Amino acid sequence: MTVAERVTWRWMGLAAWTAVMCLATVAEAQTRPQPSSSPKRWEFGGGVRWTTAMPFDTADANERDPAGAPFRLFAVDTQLEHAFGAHLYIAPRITRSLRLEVTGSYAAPQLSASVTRDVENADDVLIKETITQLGVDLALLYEFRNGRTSRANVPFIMGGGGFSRELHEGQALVETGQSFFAGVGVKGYFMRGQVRRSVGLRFDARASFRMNGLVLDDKTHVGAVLSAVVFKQF
Amino acid sequence: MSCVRATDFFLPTLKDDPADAEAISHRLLVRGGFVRQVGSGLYTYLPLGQRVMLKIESIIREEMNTIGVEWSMPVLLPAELWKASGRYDVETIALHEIGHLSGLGHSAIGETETGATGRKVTASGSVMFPIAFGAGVVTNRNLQPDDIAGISDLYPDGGFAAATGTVSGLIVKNGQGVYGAHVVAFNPATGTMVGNFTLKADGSFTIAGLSPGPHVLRVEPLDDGDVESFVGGTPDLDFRVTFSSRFVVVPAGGDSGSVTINVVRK
Repeated sequence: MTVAERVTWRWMGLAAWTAVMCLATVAEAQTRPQPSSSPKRWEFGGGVRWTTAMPFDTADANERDPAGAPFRLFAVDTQLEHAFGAHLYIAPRITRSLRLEVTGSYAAPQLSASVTRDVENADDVLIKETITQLGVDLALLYEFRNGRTSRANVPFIMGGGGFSRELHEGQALVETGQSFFAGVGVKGYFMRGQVRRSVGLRFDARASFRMNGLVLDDKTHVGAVLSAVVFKQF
Repeated sequence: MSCVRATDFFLPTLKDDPADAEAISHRLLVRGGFVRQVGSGLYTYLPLGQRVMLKIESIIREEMNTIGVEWSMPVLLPAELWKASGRYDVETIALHEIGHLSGLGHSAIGETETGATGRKVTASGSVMFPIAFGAGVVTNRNLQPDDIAGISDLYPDGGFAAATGTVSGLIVKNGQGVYGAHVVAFNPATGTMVGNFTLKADGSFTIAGLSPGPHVLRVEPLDDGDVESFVGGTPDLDFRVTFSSRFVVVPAGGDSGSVTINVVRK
Protein backbone atom coordinates (compact mmCIF):
# COMPACT_ATOMS: atom_id res chain seq x y z
CA MET A 1 0.00 0.00 0.00
CA THR A 2 1.38 3.27 -1.06
CA VAL A 3 1.64 6.28 1.13
CA ALA A 4 -1.13 7.97 -0.85
CA GLU A 5 -3.42 5.00 -0.35
CA ARG A 6 -2.72 5.02 3.40
CA VAL A 7 -3.65 8.71 3.64
CA THR A 8 -6.85 8.07 1.69
CA TRP A 9 -7.88 5.20 3.99
CA ARG A 10 -7.18 7.33 7.05
CA TRP A 11 -9.37 10.10 5.72
CA MET A 12 -12.10 7.64 4.88
CA GLY A 13 -11.88 6.15 8.37
CA LEU A 14 -12.08 9.58 9.97
CA ALA A 15 -15.08 10.42 7.79
CA ALA A 16 -16.80 7.17 8.70
CA TRP A 17 -16.19 7.69 12.42
CA THR A 18 -17.50 11.25 12.15
CA ALA A 19 -20.56 10.03 10.30
CA VAL A 20 -21.24 7.33 12.88
CA MET A 21 -20.88 9.76 15.70
CA CYS A 22 -23.19 12.25 14.02
CA LEU A 23 -25.78 9.59 13.35
CA ALA A 24 -25.51 8.41 16.94
CA THR A 25 -26.18 11.97 18.20
CA VAL A 26 -29.27 12.24 16.03
CA ALA A 27 -30.47 8.87 17.23
CA GLU A 28 -30.01 9.85 20.86
CA ALA A 29 -31.87 13.10 20.29
CA GLN A 30 -34.72 11.21 18.71
CA THR A 31 -35.12 9.05 21.83
CA ARG A 32 -35.63 12.07 24.12
CA PRO A 33 -39.25 13.13 24.80
CA GLN A 34 -40.25 15.92 22.51
CA PRO A 35 -41.80 19.01 24.08
CA SER A 36 -45.43 19.19 23.17
CA SER A 37 -46.50 21.90 20.84
CA SER A 38 -49.06 23.25 23.37
CA PRO A 39 -49.25 23.31 27.22
CA LYS A 40 -51.10 20.60 29.06
CA ARG A 41 -54.80 20.88 29.61
CA TRP A 42 -55.13 20.67 33.37
CA GLU A 43 -53.17 22.32 36.10
CA PHE A 44 -53.59 21.66 39.80
CA GLY A 45 -51.79 23.50 42.52
CA GLY A 46 -51.64 24.24 46.22
CA GLY A 47 -49.61 26.51 48.41
CA VAL A 48 -49.51 29.34 50.86
CA ARG A 49 -50.44 32.97 50.58
CA TRP A 50 -49.76 36.04 52.64
CA THR A 51 -52.25 38.88 52.83
CA THR A 52 -51.27 42.34 53.99
CA ALA A 53 -53.04 44.06 56.85
CA MET A 54 -56.16 46.03 55.99
CA PRO A 55 -56.90 49.09 58.14
CA PHE A 56 -60.50 50.26 58.35
CA ASP A 57 -61.68 53.82 58.55
CA THR A 58 -63.92 53.29 61.53
CA ALA A 59 -65.44 55.97 63.73
CA ASP A 60 -64.45 56.83 67.25
CA ALA A 61 -66.95 56.36 70.04
CA ASN A 62 -68.44 59.83 69.94
CA GLU A 63 -71.05 61.62 71.96
CA ARG A 64 -72.06 65.17 71.03
CA ASP A 65 -71.14 68.41 72.69
CA PRO A 66 -73.65 71.27 73.12
CA ALA A 67 -72.81 72.59 69.64
CA GLY A 68 -73.54 69.20 68.12
CA ALA A 69 -69.90 68.48 67.35
CA PRO A 70 -68.40 65.05 68.11
CA PHE A 71 -67.17 64.58 71.65
CA ARG A 72 -64.85 61.60 71.75
CA LEU A 73 -65.44 59.10 74.52
CA PHE A 74 -62.59 56.93 73.26
CA ALA A 75 -60.78 56.36 69.99
CA VAL A 76 -60.80 53.08 68.08
CA ASP A 77 -58.48 52.08 65.23
CA THR A 78 -59.49 48.79 63.66
CA GLN A 79 -57.78 46.62 61.12
CA LEU A 80 -57.68 43.11 59.77
CA GLU A 81 -54.18 41.94 60.59
CA HIS A 82 -51.85 40.43 57.99
CA ALA A 83 -52.12 36.69 57.81
CA PHE A 84 -50.83 33.54 56.18
CA GLY A 85 -53.29 31.19 54.55
CA ALA A 86 -53.47 28.17 52.29
CA HIS A 87 -55.15 27.64 48.97
CA LEU A 88 -55.77 25.03 46.30
CA TYR A 89 -56.68 25.61 42.69
CA ILE A 90 -57.59 23.89 39.48
CA ALA A 91 -56.96 25.62 36.18
CA PRO A 92 -58.16 24.13 32.90
CA ARG A 93 -56.61 25.52 29.73
CA ILE A 94 -58.98 27.48 27.52
CA THR A 95 -56.60 28.49 24.76
CA ARG A 96 -52.89 27.99 24.30
CA SER A 97 -52.09 30.93 26.58
CA LEU A 98 -55.23 31.33 28.64
CA ARG A 99 -56.36 29.39 31.68
CA LEU A 100 -59.47 29.62 33.83
CA GLU A 101 -58.55 29.25 37.46
CA VAL A 102 -60.84 28.27 40.32
CA THR A 103 -59.30 28.67 43.77
CA GLY A 104 -60.41 27.72 47.25
CA SER A 105 -58.61 29.41 50.11
CA TYR A 106 -58.42 29.40 53.88
CA ALA A 107 -56.95 31.91 56.31
CA ALA A 108 -57.43 32.92 59.95
CA PRO A 109 -56.50 36.58 60.34
CA GLN A 110 -57.18 38.55 63.46
CA LEU A 111 -59.50 41.53 63.63
CA SER A 112 -57.95 44.00 66.03
CA ALA A 113 -58.96 47.28 67.58
CA SER A 114 -56.62 49.63 69.34
CA VAL A 115 -58.65 51.50 71.95
CA THR A 116 -56.96 54.70 73.07
CA ARG A 117 -57.54 58.24 74.34
CA ASP A 118 -60.34 57.40 76.74
CA VAL A 119 -61.98 60.49 78.17
CA GLU A 120 -61.59 59.10 81.68
CA ASN A 121 -58.00 57.99 81.13
CA ALA A 122 -58.65 54.27 80.99
CA ASP A 123 -55.65 52.18 80.02
CA ASP A 124 -55.13 51.75 76.30
CA VAL A 125 -55.98 48.25 75.16
CA LEU A 126 -55.59 46.15 72.02
CA ILE A 127 -58.52 43.83 71.60
CA LYS A 128 -58.68 41.05 69.03
CA GLU A 129 -60.83 38.40 67.50
CA THR A 130 -59.85 35.53 65.23
CA ILE A 131 -61.70 35.41 61.93
CA THR A 132 -62.01 32.24 59.86
CA GLN A 133 -61.95 33.15 56.18
CA LEU A 134 -63.04 30.73 53.48
CA GLY A 135 -62.86 32.01 49.93
CA VAL A 136 -63.64 30.98 46.39
CA ASP A 137 -62.02 32.91 43.53
CA LEU A 138 -62.50 32.73 39.79
CA ALA A 139 -59.72 34.14 37.64
CA LEU A 140 -58.44 34.31 34.09
CA LEU A 141 -54.71 33.78 33.73
CA TYR A 142 -52.79 34.73 30.59
CA GLU A 143 -49.37 33.16 30.09
CA PHE A 144 -46.71 34.90 27.99
CA ARG A 145 -45.30 31.90 26.13
CA ASN A 146 -43.76 33.87 23.29
CA GLY A 147 -43.83 30.86 20.99
CA ARG A 148 -41.56 28.80 23.17
CA THR A 149 -43.02 25.93 25.10
CA SER A 150 -39.80 24.58 26.49
CA ARG A 151 -38.41 27.43 28.53
CA ALA A 152 -38.33 27.12 32.30
CA ASN A 153 -40.03 30.34 33.34
CA VAL A 154 -43.37 31.54 32.07
CA PRO A 155 -44.62 34.93 33.24
CA PHE A 156 -48.33 35.58 33.43
CA ILE A 157 -50.93 38.14 34.34
CA MET A 158 -54.19 37.39 36.04
CA GLY A 159 -57.44 39.00 37.06
CA GLY A 160 -60.70 37.92 38.62
CA GLY A 161 -63.02 38.08 41.56
CA GLY A 162 -64.42 36.02 44.34
CA PHE A 163 -66.51 35.61 47.42
CA SER A 164 -65.41 35.02 50.95
CA ARG A 165 -67.28 33.69 53.95
CA GLU A 166 -65.99 35.03 57.21
CA LEU A 167 -66.86 33.43 60.50
CA HIS A 168 -66.44 35.41 63.67
CA GLU A 169 -65.01 33.82 66.76
CA GLY A 170 -67.33 31.21 68.19
CA GLN A 171 -69.08 31.12 64.82
CA ALA A 172 -71.62 33.55 66.22
CA LEU A 173 -71.88 35.47 62.98
CA VAL A 174 -71.10 34.82 59.33
CA GLU A 175 -70.42 37.58 56.85
CA THR A 176 -70.07 37.41 53.08
CA GLY A 177 -67.73 39.68 51.18
CA GLN A 178 -66.62 40.20 47.61
CA SER A 179 -63.26 40.99 46.17
CA PHE A 180 -61.71 41.71 42.79
CA PHE A 181 -58.06 41.34 42.05
CA ALA A 182 -55.40 41.73 39.39
CA GLY A 183 -51.85 40.55 39.54
CA VAL A 184 -48.69 39.25 37.92
CA GLY A 185 -46.61 36.16 38.47
CA VAL A 186 -44.28 33.59 37.05
CA LYS A 187 -44.37 29.83 36.72
CA GLY A 188 -41.05 28.09 37.07
CA TYR A 189 -41.03 24.58 35.65
CA PHE A 190 -38.67 21.99 37.02
CA MET A 191 -36.26 20.94 34.28
CA ARG A 192 -34.66 17.63 33.39
CA GLY A 193 -31.70 18.65 31.32
CA GLN A 194 -33.12 20.83 28.59
CA VAL A 195 -36.57 19.39 28.94
CA ARG A 196 -39.30 20.95 30.98
CA ARG A 197 -41.21 18.77 33.40
CA SER A 198 -44.91 19.14 34.17
CA VAL A 199 -44.24 20.15 37.75
CA GLY A 200 -43.12 23.52 38.99
CA LEU A 201 -43.35 26.42 41.36
CA ARG A 202 -45.47 29.46 40.88
CA PHE A 203 -45.21 32.84 42.53
CA ASP A 204 -47.66 35.66 42.12
CA ALA A 205 -48.51 39.02 43.59
CA ARG A 206 -51.90 40.57 43.29
CA ALA A 207 -53.71 43.70 44.34
CA SER A 208 -57.01 42.81 45.94
CA PHE A 209 -59.96 45.19 46.07
CA ARG A 210 -62.18 44.11 48.89
CA MET A 211 -65.69 45.20 49.78
CA ASN A 212 -68.52 44.15 52.11
CA GLY A 213 -68.19 41.23 54.43
CA LEU A 214 -65.85 41.93 57.27
CA VAL A 215 -65.18 45.46 56.17
CA LEU A 216 -65.98 47.73 59.09
CA ASP A 217 -66.74 50.72 56.91
CA ASP A 218 -68.45 51.33 53.62
CA LYS A 219 -65.28 51.69 51.60
CA THR A 220 -63.42 49.50 49.14
CA HIS A 221 -60.06 48.45 50.54
CA VAL A 222 -56.94 47.59 48.59
CA GLY A 223 -54.55 45.00 49.91
CA ALA A 224 -51.70 42.93 48.53
CA VAL A 225 -51.67 39.14 48.35
CA LEU A 226 -48.47 37.20 47.75
CA SER A 227 -48.60 33.49 47.08
CA ALA A 228 -46.27 30.57 46.45
CA VAL A 229 -47.61 27.39 44.91
CA VAL A 230 -46.47 23.95 43.78
CA PHE A 231 -48.32 22.94 40.65
CA LYS A 232 -48.67 19.91 38.47
CA GLN A 233 -49.96 19.79 34.91
CA PHE A 234 -51.68 16.89 33.22
CA MET B 1 -103.34 76.48 113.40
CA SER B 2 -105.09 73.19 113.24
CA CYS B 3 -103.58 70.06 114.75
CA VAL B 4 -104.40 66.48 113.94
CA ARG B 5 -103.45 63.58 116.12
CA ALA B 6 -101.15 61.09 114.51
CA THR B 7 -103.58 58.35 115.40
CA ASP B 8 -106.27 60.18 113.42
CA PHE B 9 -104.05 61.14 110.48
CA PHE B 10 -104.38 59.05 107.37
CA LEU B 11 -100.79 57.90 106.86
CA PRO B 12 -100.58 54.52 105.10
CA THR B 13 -96.87 53.63 105.23
CA LEU B 14 -95.24 50.53 103.79
CA LYS B 15 -92.56 48.33 105.28
CA ASP B 16 -91.13 47.17 101.98
CA ASP B 17 -90.08 48.89 98.81
CA PRO B 18 -92.53 48.74 95.92
CA ALA B 19 -91.40 46.01 93.55
CA ASP B 20 -91.15 48.29 90.51
CA ALA B 21 -89.55 51.27 92.24
CA GLU B 22 -85.91 51.84 91.31
CA ALA B 23 -85.34 55.51 92.20
CA ILE B 24 -84.70 56.27 95.85
CA SER B 25 -87.16 59.19 95.80
CA HIS B 26 -89.85 56.92 94.43
CA ARG B 27 -89.29 54.24 97.07
CA LEU B 28 -89.19 56.63 100.02
CA LEU B 29 -92.20 58.67 98.99
CA VAL B 30 -94.32 55.54 98.63
CA ARG B 31 -93.05 53.90 101.82
CA GLY B 32 -93.42 57.13 103.78
CA GLY B 33 -97.04 57.52 102.80
CA PHE B 34 -96.62 60.69 100.75
CA VAL B 35 -97.93 59.30 97.47
CA ARG B 36 -99.64 56.18 96.27
CA GLN B 37 -99.42 54.84 92.73
CA VAL B 38 -102.74 54.33 91.00
CA GLY B 39 -101.41 53.36 87.57
CA SER B 40 -98.39 53.49 85.32
CA GLY B 41 -96.95 56.98 85.83
CA LEU B 42 -100.03 58.09 87.84
CA TYR B 43 -99.81 59.04 91.51
CA THR B 44 -102.22 60.30 94.13
CA TYR B 45 -100.97 62.80 96.71
CA LEU B 46 -101.91 61.36 100.07
CA PRO B 47 -102.62 63.82 102.94
CA LEU B 48 -98.97 64.03 103.95
CA GLY B 49 -97.83 64.67 100.38
CA GLN B 50 -100.58 67.21 99.91
CA ARG B 51 -99.50 69.08 103.07
CA VAL B 52 -95.92 69.22 101.80
CA MET B 53 -97.11 70.59 98.47
CA LEU B 54 -99.20 73.26 100.17
CA LYS B 55 -96.29 74.27 102.38
CA ILE B 56 -94.02 74.63 99.36
CA GLU B 57 -96.69 76.75 97.68
CA SER B 58 -96.98 78.97 100.73
CA ILE B 59 -93.22 79.46 100.90
CA ILE B 60 -93.15 80.50 97.26
CA ARG B 61 -96.14 82.80 97.89
CA GLU B 62 -94.37 84.53 100.75
CA GLU B 63 -91.26 85.05 98.65
CA MET B 64 -93.26 86.44 95.75
CA ASN B 65 -95.10 88.81 98.08
CA THR B 66 -91.75 89.97 99.48
CA ILE B 67 -90.48 90.73 96.01
CA GLY B 68 -93.65 92.69 95.40
CA VAL B 69 -93.67 92.35 91.62
CA GLU B 70 -95.82 89.72 90.00
CA TRP B 71 -97.72 89.39 86.84
CA SER B 72 -99.61 86.71 85.02
CA MET B 73 -98.91 85.81 81.44
CA PRO B 74 -101.04 83.84 78.99
CA VAL B 75 -100.29 80.20 78.45
CA LEU B 76 -99.45 80.80 74.80
CA LEU B 77 -96.63 83.22 74.04
CA PRO B 78 -94.80 84.21 70.87
CA ALA B 79 -91.69 82.08 70.39
CA GLU B 80 -89.53 85.18 69.98
CA LEU B 81 -89.73 85.90 73.72
CA TRP B 82 -88.42 82.43 74.58
CA LYS B 83 -85.73 82.59 71.92
CA ALA B 84 -84.56 86.01 73.13
CA SER B 85 -84.02 84.61 76.61
CA GLY B 86 -82.41 81.39 75.35
CA ARG B 87 -85.14 79.12 76.70
CA TYR B 88 -86.92 78.07 73.56
CA ASP B 89 -86.47 74.31 73.61
CA VAL B 90 -89.60 72.65 74.84
CA GLU B 91 -89.07 69.95 72.25
CA THR B 92 -85.93 68.53 73.85
CA ILE B 93 -87.49 68.26 77.28
CA ALA B 94 -90.76 66.96 75.87
CA LEU B 95 -88.90 64.29 73.91
CA HIS B 96 -87.11 63.16 77.05
CA GLU B 97 -90.34 63.02 79.05
CA ILE B 98 -92.17 61.20 76.28
CA GLY B 99 -89.38 58.66 76.53
CA HIS B 100 -90.23 58.14 80.19
CA LEU B 101 -93.92 58.03 79.34
CA SER B 102 -93.10 55.25 76.89
CA GLY B 103 -91.25 53.29 79.53
CA LEU B 104 -87.62 54.26 79.08
CA GLY B 105 -85.38 54.90 82.04
CA HIS B 106 -82.40 57.20 82.10
CA SER B 107 -79.32 56.57 80.03
CA ALA B 108 -75.82 57.24 81.34
CA ILE B 109 -74.29 57.94 77.92
CA GLY B 110 -73.21 61.48 78.58
CA GLU B 111 -70.56 63.47 80.40
CA THR B 112 -70.84 66.14 83.07
CA GLU B 113 -68.43 68.36 84.89
CA THR B 114 -68.76 70.36 88.06
CA GLY B 115 -67.68 73.98 88.01
CA ALA B 116 -68.26 77.15 89.96
CA THR B 117 -71.80 77.39 88.65
CA GLY B 118 -72.64 73.80 89.47
CA ARG B 119 -72.92 70.70 87.37
CA LYS B 120 -73.26 71.07 83.63
CA VAL B 121 -73.40 68.67 80.72
CA THR B 122 -70.39 68.63 78.42
CA ALA B 123 -71.59 65.88 76.10
CA SER B 124 -74.53 63.60 75.56
CA GLY B 125 -75.13 60.45 73.55
CA SER B 126 -78.78 59.93 74.36
CA VAL B 127 -82.02 61.89 74.65
CA MET B 128 -82.61 59.95 77.85
CA PHE B 129 -79.49 61.31 79.54
CA PRO B 130 -81.01 62.81 82.70
CA ILE B 131 -79.30 66.20 82.68
CA ALA B 132 -80.16 68.66 79.94
CA PHE B 133 -77.71 70.86 78.11
CA GLY B 134 -77.78 74.53 78.99
CA ALA B 135 -80.80 76.66 78.13
CA GLY B 136 -81.36 77.06 74.42
CA VAL B 137 -79.19 74.17 73.29
CA VAL B 138 -81.18 72.09 70.84
CA THR B 139 -78.57 69.43 70.11
CA ASN B 140 -80.45 66.72 71.93
CA ARG B 141 -83.65 66.86 69.93
CA ASN B 142 -82.81 63.86 67.79
CA LEU B 143 -83.07 60.28 68.94
CA GLN B 144 -79.72 58.56 69.32
CA PRO B 145 -78.92 54.85 68.80
CA ASP B 146 -79.22 54.26 72.56
CA ASP B 147 -82.75 55.71 72.55
CA ILE B 148 -83.74 53.82 69.43
CA ALA B 149 -82.43 50.52 70.78
CA GLY B 150 -84.29 51.04 74.03
CA ILE B 151 -87.66 51.96 72.56
CA SER B 152 -87.37 49.28 69.88
CA ASP B 153 -86.71 46.71 72.56
CA LEU B 154 -89.87 47.80 74.40
CA TYR B 155 -92.04 47.99 71.28
CA PRO B 156 -90.41 45.76 68.68
CA ASP B 157 -91.73 45.53 65.17
CA GLY B 158 -91.86 42.22 63.36
CA GLY B 159 -88.28 42.15 62.19
CA PHE B 160 -86.56 43.71 65.19
CA ALA B 161 -85.76 40.53 67.07
CA ALA B 162 -84.35 38.84 63.98
CA ALA B 163 -82.35 41.85 62.81
CA THR B 164 -80.67 42.72 66.10
CA GLY B 165 -78.93 40.89 68.88
CA THR B 166 -78.01 41.22 72.51
CA VAL B 167 -74.92 41.19 74.67
CA SER B 168 -75.14 39.71 78.12
CA GLY B 169 -72.58 39.07 80.78
CA LEU B 170 -71.16 39.79 84.19
CA ILE B 171 -69.11 42.60 85.66
CA VAL B 172 -66.91 41.22 88.39
CA LYS B 173 -64.54 42.77 90.95
CA ASN B 174 -62.48 40.53 93.20
CA GLY B 175 -64.74 37.64 92.35
CA GLN B 176 -67.91 39.50 93.33
CA GLY B 177 -70.55 40.94 91.04
CA VAL B 178 -70.55 44.72 90.63
CA TYR B 179 -73.91 46.43 91.15
CA GLY B 180 -74.67 49.64 89.28
CA ALA B 181 -71.89 49.51 86.69
CA HIS B 182 -72.58 51.28 83.41
CA VAL B 183 -71.80 49.10 80.38
CA VAL B 184 -71.62 50.55 76.88
CA ALA B 185 -71.47 48.45 73.71
CA PHE B 186 -69.74 50.26 70.85
CA ASN B 187 -69.97 49.01 67.28
CA PRO B 188 -66.93 50.27 65.31
CA ALA B 189 -68.64 49.52 62.01
CA THR B 190 -71.61 51.80 62.68
CA GLY B 191 -70.17 54.13 65.31
CA THR B 192 -73.18 53.51 67.56
CA MET B 193 -73.23 53.21 71.34
CA VAL B 194 -75.91 51.50 73.39
CA GLY B 195 -75.71 51.16 77.14
CA ASN B 196 -77.26 49.58 80.18
CA PHE B 197 -76.53 48.92 83.85
CA THR B 198 -75.82 45.97 86.05
CA LEU B 199 -79.02 45.94 88.06
CA LYS B 200 -78.46 42.80 90.11
CA ALA B 201 -76.04 41.97 92.87
CA ASP B 202 -74.38 39.31 90.73
CA GLY B 203 -73.22 42.01 88.30
CA SER B 204 -75.23 40.70 85.37
CA PHE B 205 -76.27 42.91 82.50
CA THR B 206 -78.00 42.68 79.13
CA ILE B 207 -77.84 45.18 76.29
CA ALA B 208 -80.50 44.67 73.63
CA GLY B 209 -81.17 46.13 70.20
CA LEU B 210 -77.60 45.91 68.93
CA SER B 211 -76.70 45.73 65.27
CA PRO B 212 -74.95 42.44 64.43
CA GLY B 213 -71.16 42.53 64.38
CA PRO B 214 -68.15 42.86 66.64
CA HIS B 215 -68.50 45.28 69.55
CA VAL B 216 -66.17 46.89 72.07
CA LEU B 217 -67.53 46.89 75.63
CA ARG B 218 -66.63 49.67 78.05
CA VAL B 219 -67.48 49.48 81.74
CA GLU B 220 -67.47 52.55 83.95
CA PRO B 221 -68.75 53.49 87.38
CA LEU B 222 -71.67 55.90 87.52
CA ASP B 223 -70.93 59.55 88.04
CA ASP B 224 -71.27 59.95 91.80
CA GLY B 225 -73.23 63.18 91.34
CA ASP B 226 -76.02 61.50 89.41
CA VAL B 227 -76.36 58.05 90.92
CA GLU B 228 -80.00 58.40 91.89
CA SER B 229 -80.90 59.28 88.32
CA PHE B 230 -79.95 55.81 87.15
CA VAL B 231 -80.25 53.11 89.76
CA GLY B 232 -81.57 52.65 93.26
CA GLY B 233 -79.68 51.19 96.16
CA THR B 234 -75.97 51.71 96.53
CA PRO B 235 -74.06 51.17 93.31
CA ASP B 236 -70.38 50.32 93.40
CA LEU B 237 -68.44 53.38 92.27
CA ASP B 238 -64.98 52.19 93.23
CA PHE B 239 -63.56 50.68 90.08
CA ARG B 240 -61.61 51.85 87.08
CA VAL B 241 -62.97 52.27 83.58
CA THR B 242 -62.30 48.96 81.83
CA PHE B 243 -62.64 47.64 78.30
CA SER B 244 -63.42 44.11 77.22
CA SER B 245 -60.26 42.17 76.40
CA ARG B 246 -61.78 40.63 73.26
CA PHE B 247 -64.26 41.72 70.63
CA VAL B 248 -67.77 40.70 71.61
CA VAL B 249 -69.61 39.42 68.56
CA VAL B 250 -73.34 40.10 68.43
CA PRO B 251 -75.24 37.65 66.22
CA ALA B 252 -78.40 38.57 64.37
CA GLY B 253 -81.40 37.40 66.37
CA GLY B 254 -79.35 35.98 69.21
CA ASP B 255 -77.12 36.62 72.17
CA SER B 256 -73.37 36.97 72.30
CA GLY B 257 -73.05 34.40 75.04
CA SER B 258 -72.06 35.43 78.50
CA VAL B 259 -69.16 37.87 78.65
CA THR B 260 -67.27 38.38 81.89
CA ILE B 261 -65.32 41.59 82.43
CA ASN B 262 -63.11 41.89 85.48
CA VAL B 263 -62.67 45.37 86.89
CA VAL B 264 -60.22 46.58 89.52
CA ARG B 265 -60.45 49.18 92.27
CA LYS B 266 -59.42 52.72 91.50
